[in-house]
Amino acid sequence: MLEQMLDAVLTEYYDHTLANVDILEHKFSRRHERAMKRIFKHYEINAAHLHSEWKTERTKITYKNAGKRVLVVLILVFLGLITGFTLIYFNSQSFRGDIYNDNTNLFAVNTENCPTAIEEKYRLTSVPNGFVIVELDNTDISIYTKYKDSSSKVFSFTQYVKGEFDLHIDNEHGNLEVIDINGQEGLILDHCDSAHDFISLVWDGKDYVFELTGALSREDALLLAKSIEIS
Amino acid sequence: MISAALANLKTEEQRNTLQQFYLDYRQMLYSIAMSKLHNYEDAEDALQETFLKISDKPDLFFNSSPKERVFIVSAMVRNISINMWKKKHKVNFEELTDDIPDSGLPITEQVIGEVSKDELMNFIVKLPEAVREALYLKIHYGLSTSEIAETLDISNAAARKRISNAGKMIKKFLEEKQNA
Repeated sequence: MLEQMLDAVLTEYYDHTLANVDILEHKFSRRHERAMKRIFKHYEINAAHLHSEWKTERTKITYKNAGKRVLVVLILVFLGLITGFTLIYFNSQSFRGDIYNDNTNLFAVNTENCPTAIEEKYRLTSVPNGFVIVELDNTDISIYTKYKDSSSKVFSFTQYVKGEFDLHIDNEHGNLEVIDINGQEGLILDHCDSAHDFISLVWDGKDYVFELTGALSREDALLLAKSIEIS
Repeated sequence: MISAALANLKTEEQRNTLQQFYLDYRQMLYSIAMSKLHNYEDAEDALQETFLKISDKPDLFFNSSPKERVFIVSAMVRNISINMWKKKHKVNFEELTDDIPDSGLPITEQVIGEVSKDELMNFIVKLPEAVREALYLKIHYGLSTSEIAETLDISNAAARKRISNAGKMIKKFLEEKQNA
């Protein structure tokens, strides 16, 4: 009885309060709008993965065959006892990242002398059979292309200006590895198991950063990544 | 194959729902963030952080009605903004021990007696916002302590403390009503 009354009164209170928030008419920055677009795009691709039955394991970072190229500096930082989560920073040859419990925020390094806007557009030259382009989004700093096949499997290919590369990768379902793509460093998060394919792959393309995410096998993703050409 | 296709269709629909929600409420959510952060870049970051969090753990959002989502996301933005402000200004977090009892809200066991709706509303209005929203998440949404903690971006101990405080305040309020 009390619980029901409290619920009704709280609902009335919040209905009234939220209907009377002093709204500031804000013109959102382009940086923010780009970030929000990225969040929604990645939600769709990541959620397709979450909807299926995937085995889960905590993220570990492994550096396979990285050799002398990769300088890994790990600094463990504690963020507030009350939030209870740990933030780990890492630096590799081409990327730096903030690793949270549930996502990794990646940035590109070595951005000097790189274009600040897309000057040359890249494309995938060997798309897997059955996949067609269903969405294209060109901005001055990124080009996003979404592919879909007849069974509604999706993956995306994105070209970023290095200085604006700011990507959150869901790190709860796989291992982040440093790999080689055409002599440049890449990071791959392999979520594949015997029943499903799901890959997140980013790599340094000298002037730009590229990303492939979605329903691809590791082999297909690597082949695709190595196949890009200026269109 | 069919289930995979359905899952992808559902995902596309959910993306559109989430995106539309953002477009409908971004000015309100920004205003809430701005009221805590007083800096437009930080307020925008708070919105990004909030929607990233929803993207990562979308169940509560999509399992709620459109109206319920407004409160949930508002509460998330408010708490994320407060945490961002604390970090930026290096405010020490309150250290809470883990021994706060989980069942600190004996609402169902309490006798309501003669309490009018207006009296209850006056009591609710006077509650600290942190306690009030935790109470609402527990009562209306049926969230566990850990789910409240996750939604509000606070520790389990802090969530338990808020629920425990709510229980104590309700008890005190009812006792005062009985003795009046």
